[in-house]
Amino acid sequence: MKTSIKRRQLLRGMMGGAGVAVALPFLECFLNANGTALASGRPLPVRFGTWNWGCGMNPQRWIPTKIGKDYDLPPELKYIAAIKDQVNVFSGYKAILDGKPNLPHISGMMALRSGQVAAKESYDAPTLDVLVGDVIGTDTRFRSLEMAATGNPNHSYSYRNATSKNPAEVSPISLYTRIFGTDFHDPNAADFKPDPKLMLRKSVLSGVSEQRAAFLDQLGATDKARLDEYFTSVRQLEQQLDLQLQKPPPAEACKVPKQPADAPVGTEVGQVLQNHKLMAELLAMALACNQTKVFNMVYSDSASTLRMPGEQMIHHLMTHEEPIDAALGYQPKATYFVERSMEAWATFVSTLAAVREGDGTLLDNCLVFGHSDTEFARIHSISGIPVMMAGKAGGRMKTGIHMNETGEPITRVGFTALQIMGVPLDKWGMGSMQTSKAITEVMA
Amino acid sequence: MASRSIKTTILSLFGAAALAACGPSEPPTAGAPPQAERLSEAQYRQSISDIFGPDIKVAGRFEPGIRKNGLLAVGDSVIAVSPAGFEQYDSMARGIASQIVDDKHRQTLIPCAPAEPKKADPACAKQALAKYGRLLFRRPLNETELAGPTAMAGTAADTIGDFYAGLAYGLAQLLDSPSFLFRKDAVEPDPDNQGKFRLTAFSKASRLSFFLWNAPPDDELLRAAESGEIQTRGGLAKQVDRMLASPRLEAGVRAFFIDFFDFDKFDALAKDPMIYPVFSTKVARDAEEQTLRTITDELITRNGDYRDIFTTRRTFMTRNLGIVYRVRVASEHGWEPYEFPAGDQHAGILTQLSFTELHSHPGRSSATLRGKAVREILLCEQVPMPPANVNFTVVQETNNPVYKTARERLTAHRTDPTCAGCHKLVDPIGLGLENFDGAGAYRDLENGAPIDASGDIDGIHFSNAAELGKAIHDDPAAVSCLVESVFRYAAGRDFDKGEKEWRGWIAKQFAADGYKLPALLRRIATSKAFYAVTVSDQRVKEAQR
Amino acid sequence: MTGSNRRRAATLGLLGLGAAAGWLALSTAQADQAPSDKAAPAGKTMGFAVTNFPFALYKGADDCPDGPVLSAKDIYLKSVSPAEQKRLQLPENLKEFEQKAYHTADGRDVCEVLDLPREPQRSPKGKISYGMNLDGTKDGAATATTCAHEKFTSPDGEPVDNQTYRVMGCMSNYRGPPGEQGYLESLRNSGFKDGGTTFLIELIGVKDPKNDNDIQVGIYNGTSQMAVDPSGSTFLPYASLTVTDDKRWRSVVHGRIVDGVVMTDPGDIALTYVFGGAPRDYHIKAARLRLQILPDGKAKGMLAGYMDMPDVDMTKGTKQASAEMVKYDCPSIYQAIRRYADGYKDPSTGKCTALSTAFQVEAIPAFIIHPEEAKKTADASSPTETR
Repeated sequence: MKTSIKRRQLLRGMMGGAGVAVALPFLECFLNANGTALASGRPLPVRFGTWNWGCGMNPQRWIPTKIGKDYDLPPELKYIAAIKDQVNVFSGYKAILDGKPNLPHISGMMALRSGQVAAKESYDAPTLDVLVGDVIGTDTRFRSLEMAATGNPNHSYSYRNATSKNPAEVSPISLYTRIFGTDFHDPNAADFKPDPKLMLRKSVLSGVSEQRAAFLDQLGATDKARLDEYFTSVRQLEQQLDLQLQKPPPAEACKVPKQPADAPVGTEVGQVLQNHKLMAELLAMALACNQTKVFNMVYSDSASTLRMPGEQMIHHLMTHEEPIDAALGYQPKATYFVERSMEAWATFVSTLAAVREGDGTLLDNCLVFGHSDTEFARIHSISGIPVMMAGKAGGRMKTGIHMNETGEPITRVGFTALQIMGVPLDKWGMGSMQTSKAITEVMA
Repeated sequence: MASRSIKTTILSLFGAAALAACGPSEPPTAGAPPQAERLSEAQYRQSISDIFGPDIKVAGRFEPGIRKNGLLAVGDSVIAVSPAGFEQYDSMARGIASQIVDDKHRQTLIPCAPAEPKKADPACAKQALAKYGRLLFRRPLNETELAGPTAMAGTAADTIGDFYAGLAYGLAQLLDSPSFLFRKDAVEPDPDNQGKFRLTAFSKASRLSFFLWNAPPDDELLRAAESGEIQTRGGLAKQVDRMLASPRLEAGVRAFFIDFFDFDKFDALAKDPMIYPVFSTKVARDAEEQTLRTITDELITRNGDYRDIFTTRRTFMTRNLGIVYRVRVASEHGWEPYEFPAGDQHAGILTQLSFTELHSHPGRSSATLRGKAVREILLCEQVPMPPANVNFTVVQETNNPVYKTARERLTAHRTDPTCAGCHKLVDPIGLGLENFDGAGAYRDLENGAPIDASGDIDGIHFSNAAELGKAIHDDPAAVSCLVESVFRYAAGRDFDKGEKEWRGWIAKQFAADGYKLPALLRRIATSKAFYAVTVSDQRVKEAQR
Repeated sequence: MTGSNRRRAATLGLLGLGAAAGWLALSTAQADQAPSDKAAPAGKTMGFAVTNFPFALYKGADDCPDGPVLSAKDIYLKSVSPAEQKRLQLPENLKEFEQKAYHTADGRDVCEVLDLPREPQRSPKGKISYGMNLDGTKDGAATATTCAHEKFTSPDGEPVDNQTYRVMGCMSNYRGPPGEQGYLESLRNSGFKDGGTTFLIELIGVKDPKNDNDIQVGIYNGTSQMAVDPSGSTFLPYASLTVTDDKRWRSVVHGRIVDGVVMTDPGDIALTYVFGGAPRDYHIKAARLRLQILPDGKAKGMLAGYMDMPDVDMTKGTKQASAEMVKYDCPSIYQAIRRYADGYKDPSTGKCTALSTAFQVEAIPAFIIHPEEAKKTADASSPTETR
């Protein structure tokens, strides 16, 4: 039984408070703070994922009035009532542009996910999920899984760099086929016979890797870097095959789901909610079956192209053109989409909470980073971009807390998540958004 | 479909004129560094079809490309391959390889038979892999490159106990290789220019072939590369003329316009079925095809003036399209030519569904989206993003006025100084197309109010869509945008600072050639600038040793 | 039953409006597409595709005071005591009930004994019905070719003939609930939406869409399926639809337009349609089409004429068990048809062999393409279908 060392004590001891980036070993073995583990002695894996919805919320209807524990639930947050104690809410944190333009629905996303903004849409730094995946995603079949409930593979905000974006799976059936199709091995299967063809496939890939030196020869620096990513992707597949050649550790919560029906995908809100729910269920099982530990779910794209049947305007257009109802104080149709987004968030989190794992639930071993691209979409406001974090991250995160630090950079929230997930960075972000201060109130 | 005899006559007449060298000669350029462009989905599929036959199925998902400065072809030079993307390539490779060696195909596709079908046969494997390696890599493989897949095929054959199954692994390795998936420029010292470098014959052939046909080099072009002919002016011109005269030119021109016009947006195009019941995926598919046919008919078959695509009343129809355009289409199946009557507002490609329905919302037309598309796509003019301090509260309406037409709805865009700065660049253009609703169907009224489709673009006034088309026709930016886009598409890169003079020259030639596309393609394909490469100083030094 | 077809029976009548938008369906094609051999008249062509073609059933509130037409079971129950009625309707006695109701005492199916004594089938008692004045009389007295019968009055006060209404008017599966088509009607008319049936109307040689003394009107079956939206629930106007090349289902009659309403001279019209998966025909003799062209380009009106008894008859080849499912009794309807026949008097027997009938017509603008023109294809390399 390993000693339970508080992670922050370790960090402080090592660095004595100085802002030096130290290459820390993988910290999983130190982080099983609540002391539970499987019978095999292996700690339950901690998973990380992002979940995003487009076009923000109505601040007066979303931000809880109370700060700290036992926060109240304004109308747009009522959907999380059942899971409130597992969700942290962050309000008031802002994206700081340092003079760069506020690219509508883009700058906020860039700031929140990659810690920096640019004069045009260009994720020059990796998004936080990629940073986490590089640390915890190397021993699963997939480094990460990206999904979009809108049906558009371009709707992904997971970037390694400006020209390397991870495309999204866009339908329940394609997600199912990718995870549970022919290359899936049930970790709980009684017998395990390594398929000799997998060795051959590995050989093919290592043969491709052998071409690396010759192929990179005579390329310029930028091309070298991006072609090297190609070879990294080849190796990634090789590693996947490696894992399939070994008997996987049992995953008690893993239950192979049935293949979903082939249903049309699109941006009609009913379709999106339905496909989102089905994909959330498949993802939950993918996590429980240790196929990946990192995921990105796009419920709606940042400029929300979601629509209602018979309506001339898509959600995004409504946020600008629908008048604010004098009696209600908000835009009724645009707000319908906000509420569906919150409903979908609650569905997503509840789906993870519904899977029993160890002494608790799958959600207990997750950190789900939910966010939007803007606060009040009508004016493209990026001060107070809403973020929620759900799950206990294997005991590393405290939940049920509302944090509001108006004016603080939004990178503090992302940095907190990175710290909890053990990414060895002592600071994150660029310019005025650079921070080394995690929000310790939510750290266990 | 095209009238080949007309084309051949025109091109041979033109070829003769070109040799007479009218006008100033091509300004020199330094060229650009060698590139490595990722194959697009269409190029991948075309390669498999050309090399292994059209009935080999390619089953997999291609990850999306990125549009750089308006073109996917330029994005292909900077895009990488994600892990998910490579998973798909590998899956496709295995699927293709297994079809090549199956009972149905092995007789025709494998050039030799193994000594014993249940055992490895290195000689036969090598022969097959050499043949297909050359076609897939677009150049012959050297011994090292061949040894890997051949050994792979042997090991696999031994493990499985079947030559063909083993060969499939060797083929899969070729298909997984970056030498297939990327078109890497190879360079060699230029014998005609001491100290300088040029593209190798195979890289030149590749660049030419993907430009004119959007396909890998065919046998004849590979032969011209192998013999070195393609490195001579005459040899290159001969291949260029052969390719321009071929029916395969149409596929290349289509590929350019599909990229240039953002037609990849058709994949995600959806309309609200209650508001636009006429819209269906069949209509969308026909709409794309209609514009491509209009263009290839005007610019290749008729060898017409590029600018006329903005004013022509000639197009093609299917019965599906006839419903949206409300025109009579006699042919039950397929396409028939259709010409709108004089005075009809359907004039030019801006009034075709591929433009009006693509640049609209699912439930509404959009003057802003259409104006932006005209500026950015057709005129190559960047519309600035909204500034950081835009105060959107000005659009708050407290008295809920009822706006009937788009022109009224966009009043704030026009009148508020913060909005008008950018919106005046786009809205007036798009408002000229408001007679076409979000599904592209013509209307005189919106919510019962008459539509006013007048406006101006850069000082030129128009009263309706047909006149807007004429204004674009007359706009010098439209032709320079085309010329520059064709070059950037073909070369897979943006212009270098040192190419300013060349850009001026090629634009002048395009005008002198009567704005004809095949002439432009020929000029670029036979130019020095298109193939010019610069290499790093280190490389130069190495060569001098 | 295609529940999607919930059209109300619209009030027919002259609305007296212009037909400005009707020109949208005009094409510049000459009328040499008319299948007749006559020289092509000058003028333009206007085309329509029918979207609904139900019997014109007025459905007055007091038409059927005694209730709907009785089925064989209903008739049988009326002939026995209340106790026996109760017993027969118990589930365990179903077979016995059907045996008794569907057969004569000596075991023959009643559909084979069409002169079985029956009370007259319930018939509309109201005085108002849709229809046209087909026999030219004001009072329905016999003429050389027609039999004496009671006329109805149209909602506009005109004397009209609609003896088919007397047969169908109280049959629940024709009449349907208030505001809805009866089951048989919606089944028949669903053929337009599901692609089984296409009817086309072509106005040929139109010089003035408001007033024109001399036009030809073609009424045809189409071989193209009606164009509908992807959900299958909305018809799409302005489709190009091919006319059949089968001469049987092509009729051309002379007509005129008065104040935007087309009226044709009497002529025989034949059309085929799909009903319950099987092909059936209409043969409407001395038919007249009255069609009003609306401002939005659509058209609506009425087609009235005489239908031969066999076409109205539903007893041929049927067993009562089947007739029972749509709630009628073979002998009753057979006798009703003969009772109400009012046209095409057989000189040798003096009995009429056809019934005056009226159909509602609703149509949307369409482009009519004749078969010779449709077969040519400029480029078949990218075949496309409307469905």
